[in-house]
Amino acid sequence: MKTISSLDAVTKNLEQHENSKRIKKLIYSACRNIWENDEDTLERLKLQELIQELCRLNPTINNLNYTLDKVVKTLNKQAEYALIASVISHEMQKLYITLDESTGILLNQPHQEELTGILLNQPRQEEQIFYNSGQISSNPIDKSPNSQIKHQYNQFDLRQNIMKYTNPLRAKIVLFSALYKKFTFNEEDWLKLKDEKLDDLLLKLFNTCPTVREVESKLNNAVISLGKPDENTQAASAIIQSMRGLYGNISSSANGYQPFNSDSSLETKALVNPYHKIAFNDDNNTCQFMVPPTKE
Amino acid sequence: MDANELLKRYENGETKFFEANLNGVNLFGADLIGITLNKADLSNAILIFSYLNRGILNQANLVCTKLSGANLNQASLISANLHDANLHGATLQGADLRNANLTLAYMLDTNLMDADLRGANLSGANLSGACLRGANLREEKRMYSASLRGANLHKADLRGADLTGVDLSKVDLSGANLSEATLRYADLSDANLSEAILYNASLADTNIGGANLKGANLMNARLERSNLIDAELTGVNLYGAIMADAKLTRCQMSGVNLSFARLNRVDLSRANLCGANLTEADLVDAYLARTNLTGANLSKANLIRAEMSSTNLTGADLRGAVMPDGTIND
Repeated sequence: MKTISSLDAVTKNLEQHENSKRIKKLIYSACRNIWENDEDTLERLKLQELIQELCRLNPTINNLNYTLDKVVKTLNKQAEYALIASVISHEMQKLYITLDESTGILLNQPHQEELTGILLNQPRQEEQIFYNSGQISSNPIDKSPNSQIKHQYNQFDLRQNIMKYTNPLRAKIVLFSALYKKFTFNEEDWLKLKDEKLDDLLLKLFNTCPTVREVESKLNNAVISLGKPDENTQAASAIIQSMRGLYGNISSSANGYQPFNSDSSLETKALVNPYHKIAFNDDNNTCQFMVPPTKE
Repeated sequence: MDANELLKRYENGETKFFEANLNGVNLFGADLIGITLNKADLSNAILIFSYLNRGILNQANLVCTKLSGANLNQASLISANLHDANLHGATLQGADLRNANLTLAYMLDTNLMDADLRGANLSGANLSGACLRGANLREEKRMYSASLRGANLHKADLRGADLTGVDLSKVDLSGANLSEATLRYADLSDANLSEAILYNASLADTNIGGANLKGANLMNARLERSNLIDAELTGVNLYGAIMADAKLTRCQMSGVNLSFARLNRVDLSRANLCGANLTEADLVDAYLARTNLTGANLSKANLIRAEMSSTNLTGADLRGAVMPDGTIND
């Protein structure tokens, strides 16, 4: 299990470094685009998970350096943090090497044409999805097993958010209508609806829509075809709000909406880490819904 | 009483309908918020998409009732009979379902967040895809004893749920998320936990004998004194798990990741740990009679006083390990 100990080794080295607190702050900021100074919040975060997240968001060492550099430029103590950034980069480059797929962590060298990703200690292989983006090749799946595009998508958090803000059955009906055809409440459609879980429908929608706008348009069409605007609109907007976060970072820019392109996606994608304690914090989940939908 | 009469009386301000006979009525989409239907007979009724938020339905008869998409948030259903009820996509957030009968209930994609399910009987229920985050199923001696025996909880969300002492024998928890959940003293014998997420879960004193945990993630889980005899743990991630005094006799653990795990006083007799990663694991006083550690990585592991006289260490990596007699292997 050589690769798993690489991640452990890197984590350990960074944790034991004399500037470990600053290292953690910088890594956190590079992942989330926000600067955290609160000791307690930082205490609760696991460095290893942050490192994994950073790796995931930056498929190559060049991406990583660029990301770290960008953050450092926004800080007051640039010189000091530039050094911290190079420590991080130096350590983490150990993780950017190719290995065969029998090991736990699989990392890739990017090809110029393809966007590659990092597989990190995946507990459930079948949950991985292929992330489609408008600007990147619509068929990102490479034939060779070592350079496949995979991003983690937290089905549990997404499902929980939608259930919190709308009726699960209504959500399913709207999703069904958005993906297939208008739900007719007959025996056949009920059986089809029972066959697919809410999770599966959400995943399908996510996979077929490269941008948030696609999601909105599909769901709005479904709502229109179903009639009963009040209840169905409520369900559709809960779904849109919950899925918005999967398509780009809504907190970094003033106007809220980030046009999705291949450059910004790597650095600003705020994919939720399923094991991250912050994801369980209700405040953090609800803050997305405090941001009113912005006009593009 | 028929549906129209009920709706008329409700609109006129009446809310108490104790023991009402509403067998088979059609109340599709009805707004009955805050209604009281204690001991009422609603069996076979159609309550699809109805609004029963904060309703009081204690001891009501809801056998075979169609409640898909119904809203029962914060409703009280104490000792209600929901046997074979259809709750597909219903929402029961914060509902009080203590001692309710939910045997064979259909609860696909149901929202049961923060529900009080103490003493509820969910044997054979289908809870696939349901969200039970923060739900309380805790066993309380002589008062509440919930059962999920043989239930289907495939991909259910049980994060932070309290499942202390619950009967989860033969349950299907494959792909379920049990991070931070507490399963202390629960019975998970022969359960299917394949691909389940048990990150940081509390499984101390739990019976997991014969269970299937293939591909599960048990990073940092607490398993002190647990019974894992004959369990299937091939390839499982137990990084940093705390397993002092656990019983792992005959466990299938080839390729398992036990690095940094605490395994003091653990019984690993006859267990198969072929190719396992035990880097820096704590195995003080561990019992390793006939344990198969072929090709295992035990670098820097602590094996002080471990019983290893019949352990198979062919090709094992023992660099830096502290051997049973206290000497460090170089």
